[in-house]
Amino acid sequence: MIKKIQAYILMELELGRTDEVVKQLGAIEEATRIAVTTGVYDIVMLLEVNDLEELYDITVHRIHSIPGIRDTSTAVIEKMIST
Amino acid sequence: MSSVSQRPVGRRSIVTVFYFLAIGSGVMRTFSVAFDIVALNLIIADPLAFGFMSQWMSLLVTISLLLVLSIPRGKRSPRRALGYNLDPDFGRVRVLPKRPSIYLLIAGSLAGVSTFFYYYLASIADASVVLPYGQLVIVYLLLGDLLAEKDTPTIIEVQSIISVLIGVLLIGVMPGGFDVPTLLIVLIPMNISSAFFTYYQRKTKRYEIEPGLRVDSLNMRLWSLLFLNLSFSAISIPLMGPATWTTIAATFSALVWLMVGSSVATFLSLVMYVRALGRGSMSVVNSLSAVSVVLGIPVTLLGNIVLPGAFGSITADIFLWTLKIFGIGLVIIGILSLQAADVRSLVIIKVKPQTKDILPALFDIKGVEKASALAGKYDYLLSIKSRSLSKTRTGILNRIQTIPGVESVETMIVLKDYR
Repeated sequence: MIKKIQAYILMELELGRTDEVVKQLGAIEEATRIAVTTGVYDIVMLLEVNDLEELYDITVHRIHSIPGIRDTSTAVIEKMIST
Repeated sequence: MSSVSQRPVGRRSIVTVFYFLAIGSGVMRTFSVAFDIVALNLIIADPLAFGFMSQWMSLLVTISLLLVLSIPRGKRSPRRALGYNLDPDFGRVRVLPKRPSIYLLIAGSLAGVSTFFYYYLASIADASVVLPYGQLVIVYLLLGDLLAEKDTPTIIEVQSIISVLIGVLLIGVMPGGFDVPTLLIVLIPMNISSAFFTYYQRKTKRYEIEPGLRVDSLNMRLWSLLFLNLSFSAISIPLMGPATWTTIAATFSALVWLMVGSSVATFLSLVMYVRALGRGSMSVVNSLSAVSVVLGIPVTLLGNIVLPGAFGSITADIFLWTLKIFGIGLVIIGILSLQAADVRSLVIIKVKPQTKDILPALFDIKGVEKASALAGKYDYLLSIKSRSLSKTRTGILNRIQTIPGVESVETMIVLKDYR
């Protein structure tokens, strides 16, 4: 079975809580990549899920409940090309 | 757990993992070469006989290791094989699909050629001369990377690689200078075949069996070793007289444990090497694993204290040692400067209404590793790798802005990356 939907979640964090947030995000098994960045967002995370229901579940129940995350923006991937 | 890649996100940052793999492969290679040198110095004088024995022994060891590593472990489902810790793409021993098998057939046959020349040279020259010159393969790989469009080496990479290369050559200096016929054999048949070996191994490792699941390095080692042995034997059997077979029969039992040690070290070395190839460019991986040449010096010194004479002779010439120390300095500086210069960034792009699909145009820009079209607030997200911030700006961002329809570009520099 192959999971069909990939999505990026772009997050803004509260100051000084990056490490604990990364640790908690790392526990989410659907996550395939977590990047700590400078610029408009503080963390960009790549998720792989079966359907939008699962994506909803992860964003609303898992990610939004992590203390230290101020704002998130979810972008579902329509098409991806990679090397 | 994501079933596309069959694994959750890693606990260590990807940069750490890459350097750990590439350098670790060099460390393991040092051990395997040490085992070979002890065997050749103490027990068996005929390198071809030893090579023949040790290659087939290596295959036996690899098969048994892989069978053990295929055992599933752990309570939670799905249970993962023991080998998961060595390569997360590993499931169990398997026959690979047709395309990667063909790549491995080519890679293995070529590796057989270079292995044959390695043992042949070991019989006519000092093995310690051959090893550092074997690292000249980095030059061919650098050319290969230059030709491969997606992975152009930057000036910092070229500089570090040349520094490593010169360092490696200095470490290999011998009293009496260069031995031209040996050097020619190393440069032409041996290194060209190992450059192609590297190229095809990388191609295989990057082949996706299903989306997100790449060929695992453990099975790759098994199959390419099988092909290697076949081609190696095809070349060497005609050269092996009855005397060689008697030597093999006489020394086999004394050599078993040395060969097992060497095989296990080679196995780990190649698994790490191939995994590193899956993540980085050929010349960088080879430069990093050239650390084996530096490590060879302490291993030779310490080894000779434990088993005098078993690790080859050591020169007492102060001048040669000075050159060797220069060499070590160059290798270390080269490796450190490579590691210091690795910038990844993510770029989010918004386009004006009624813009056509620009995804292929974005992916065509050099340095773009991954390009995604998004549903939501933003339209595209790019994952970029380059060696410096200024190169990211001039080479990549400026080109994105020239694509018609791009309205806004936001760049985020990646500080830490987990995958």
